[in-house]
Amino acid sequence: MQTLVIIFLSIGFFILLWKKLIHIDISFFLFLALIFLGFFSLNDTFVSFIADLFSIKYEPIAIVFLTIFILLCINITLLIFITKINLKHIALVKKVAAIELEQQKNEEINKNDINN
Amino acid sequence: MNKNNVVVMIPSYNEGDIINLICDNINKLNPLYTILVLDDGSKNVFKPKKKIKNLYIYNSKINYGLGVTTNIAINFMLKNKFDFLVRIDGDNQHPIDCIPKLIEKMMDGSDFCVGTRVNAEIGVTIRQKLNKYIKRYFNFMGKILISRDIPSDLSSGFMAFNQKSAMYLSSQVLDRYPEPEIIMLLTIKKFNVNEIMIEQFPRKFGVSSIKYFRGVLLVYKFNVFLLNNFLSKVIKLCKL
Repeated sequence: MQTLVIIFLSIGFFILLWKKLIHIDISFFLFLALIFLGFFSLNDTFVSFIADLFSIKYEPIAIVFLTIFILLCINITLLIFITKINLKHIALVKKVAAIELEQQKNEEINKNDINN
Repeated sequence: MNKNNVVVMIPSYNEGDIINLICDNINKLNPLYTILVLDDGSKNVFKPKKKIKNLYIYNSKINYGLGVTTNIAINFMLKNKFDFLVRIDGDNQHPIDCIPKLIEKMMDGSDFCVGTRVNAEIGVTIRQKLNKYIKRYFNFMGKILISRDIPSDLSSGFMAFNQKSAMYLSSQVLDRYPEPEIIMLLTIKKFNVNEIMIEQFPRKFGVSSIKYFRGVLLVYKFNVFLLNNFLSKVIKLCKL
């Protein structure tokens, strides 16, 4: 059952990639890490190894912590992307407004020239 | 510097026909003033009367907030080499006849001048009382953490910039309700910041866009700004 869930999630992820609904950037590797972590955590030796590495007595909690860490990384990466997109969007809005106001100014100058 | 080389910016959001009245009054006050109406995604787009002179309009389809509109006006001012930019609210609560007083203060050497509302704390409704305490809190914290010389009304939208302060602000990305941020930033950066006393008229048209949720957001953002400034000071001290 666990294997099926992980396989289903990874297939879903690759369909999104194939349909170009998501593209490969830094966050992509974090998603990939999450899928691999899911696969590897089916193996007891891997879970014990991770728990030993972080000196965690209750072994499964090590995988939970690792998952939370990767999710936090994804969150931060997405937050940085959103902030960057927002700044670019504002810059574009300002540029469009400047162009439109410049056009009005030029029309005004032309009108004054014709009147003179 | 020319005291007539002024652009008056009026941000508008669902203000309706009152903008025409404000533009008319500005034309009557000084026909040489340029008027810039920035409609920030209103449901009913602003339609100007034909007789209004020196009028430029930008209608945005989406509401981006006062920060972006102020940035647009600053860029317009810098590009067209206006000496001063005056910002007034689009609800006709600001005294338009005080604009020359604001400009005079700027001609005396100020980089930025704000109109402190002497009657802003009058009111008996819960909202008005809350407003009063928020303003007092802004003022108290600003004087303690930023500078004693900071103007008393940090949320006034009646303000004027010269080229120097506008140049600095053009490099900043201003957020929604940017008034406290603008005043604090310019004070921190040691610009010559001044204030004049004005009397605000009661609101006759429309409703304020600052509802309870946005009010909370405003206070939150103010605190984040203060915290950021405080941490920067601490880091600077640690480096020394």
